Amino acid sequence: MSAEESLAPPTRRSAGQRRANVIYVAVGCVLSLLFVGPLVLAVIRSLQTEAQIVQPPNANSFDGLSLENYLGIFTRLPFLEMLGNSLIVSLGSAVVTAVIATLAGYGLGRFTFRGQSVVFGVILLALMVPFQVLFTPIYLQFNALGLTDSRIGLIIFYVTFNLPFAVFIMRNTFAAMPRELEEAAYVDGASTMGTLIHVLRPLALPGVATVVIFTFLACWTEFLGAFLFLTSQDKQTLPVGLLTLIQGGFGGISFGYVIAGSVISLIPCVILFIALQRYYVQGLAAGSVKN
Amino acid sequence: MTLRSSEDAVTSSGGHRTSVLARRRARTGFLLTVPALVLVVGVVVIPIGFALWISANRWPLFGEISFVGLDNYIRVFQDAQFWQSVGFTLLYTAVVTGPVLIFGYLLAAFVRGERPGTRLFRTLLFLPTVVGLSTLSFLWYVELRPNFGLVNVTLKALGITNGQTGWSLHWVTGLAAVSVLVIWFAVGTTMVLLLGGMQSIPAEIYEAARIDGVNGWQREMLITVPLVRRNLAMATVLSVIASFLAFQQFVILTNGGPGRETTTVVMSIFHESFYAQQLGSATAMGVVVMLIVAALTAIQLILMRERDA
Repeated sequence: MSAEESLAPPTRRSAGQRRANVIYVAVGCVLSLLFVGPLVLAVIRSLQTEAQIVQPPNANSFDGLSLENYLGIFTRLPFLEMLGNSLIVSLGSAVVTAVIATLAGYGLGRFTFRGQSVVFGVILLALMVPFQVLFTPIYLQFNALGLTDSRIGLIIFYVTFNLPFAVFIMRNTFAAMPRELEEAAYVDGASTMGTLIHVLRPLALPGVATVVIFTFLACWTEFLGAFLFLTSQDKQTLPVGLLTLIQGGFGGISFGYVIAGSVISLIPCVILFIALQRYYVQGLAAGSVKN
Repeated sequence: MTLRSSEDAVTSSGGHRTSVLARRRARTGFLLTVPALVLVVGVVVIPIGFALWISANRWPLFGEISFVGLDNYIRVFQDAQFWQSVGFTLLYTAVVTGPVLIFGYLLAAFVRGERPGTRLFRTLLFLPTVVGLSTLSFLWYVELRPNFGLVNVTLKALGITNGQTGWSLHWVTGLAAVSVLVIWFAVGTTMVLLLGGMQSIPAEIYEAARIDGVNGWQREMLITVPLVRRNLAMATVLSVIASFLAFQQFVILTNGGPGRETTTVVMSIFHESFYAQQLGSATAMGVVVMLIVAALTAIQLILMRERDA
């Protein structure tokens, strides 16, 4: 897999060029299969019957595919509840993060005040400090406030740790807007929030979209925080519920249920990413040139 | 939070008027950042200080709290189990970092141009990363089963194993299984991080190199790598930190076993907090690990910088 001819725009459509392109596409297909194949296989597997799943793959591994696993997880497991919890927590975190980061980005990107870089530095601190090793004091604090075993508590936790990246994106978004816009609004006597909502909104939306998709995807399958903060079964999100399943918490393990649950977890990610790819990649690019 | 500024409108002649205006705008700007600040201070800054206090106490999950000074740290330094988990996590980090960077680089080089299908390949190669590690770990868990899982069936078909490997029964196979999954998951991140740097390299440089008869290997080593050095540094630091803080992939695939042989550092802290129920020593571990992470990051950045010279 050499990157040999992967640059240089095709200047002349020679036979050699065409052959190189054919090879390129062939290699690309093999690689794509390697990365997407397992996901597609999982979708197919989720439609197998339990009897087929516990056999080595053979000629009739894919006969009579059925939705039995999906029916099973919704009727025999509290799967709908888990799905609802995941949705509430992820959407809630995405929306709250977007609102708070938009305000902070507006303040940092459009205004000047003393201590501005200190404020930005403090917010970025949450990016430097790994919550994976700081969860004991956070847990005790949340416990004292009655925020453990609570979806609200988990949302607060998620929002905080997604904020630095989000504020970074929004600050750049606001800083890149032309000054004249605001001055015009100002002459018309628009308030600070009025300017934000009526004048700057269209320019801020791409940044907001980036923040929402990033935060949603980060929270949708986040494990450690959900494992830490949601102890009652009726509050569990998908990943924690699936863990309960493989550790035998719902009686025996049904492998079909594990796969069906995983497929339901991965579908929103794939759809969201493909639909909003532009914003996602923009965000990554912006985040990678931090220095 | 609506500060109407219509009355001190535009034609402010005289410095006094503008300075009032500037002050007011400054206050507005600061107020806008308050919600974000409150959260970060409450959930990050205060816990850091609180961590130091907790770790100086004997702090059982339930029961009497008593001040013990540096005792917890002394206990952590003598805790063989904890250092074993540090060693294991470093080993795991060493195993996955190289492949994640090398394969990620190759993939980025593969999709950096504008050729037929490139855009589609970019999307497809990144999909595992988007799906997220916990979901992938559950799928991998199913495919690692002895006799029926795809991994064992494939290895048997290739005549490598008898197809009955229980991957989580030994720490070496457990580590191998998790590493393969994580490499597959994480190369997408490296690819995207490097792609940005590669795409900003002017085509003329490559054109000139081609005319000079530079081969592919030389071109990458002499042109691309130096020019994407920053992105490479970023990708390395992110990858190393993420590996060192590994948690869910081991919880799901090996549950830290057999015994505690594949228990990672974060799992150790978790264990100390909620199974041993000793938050004082667990927090001391957390402080030690935070220092290790900071040291790893610093070492890497220094090494990367020296390469500049």
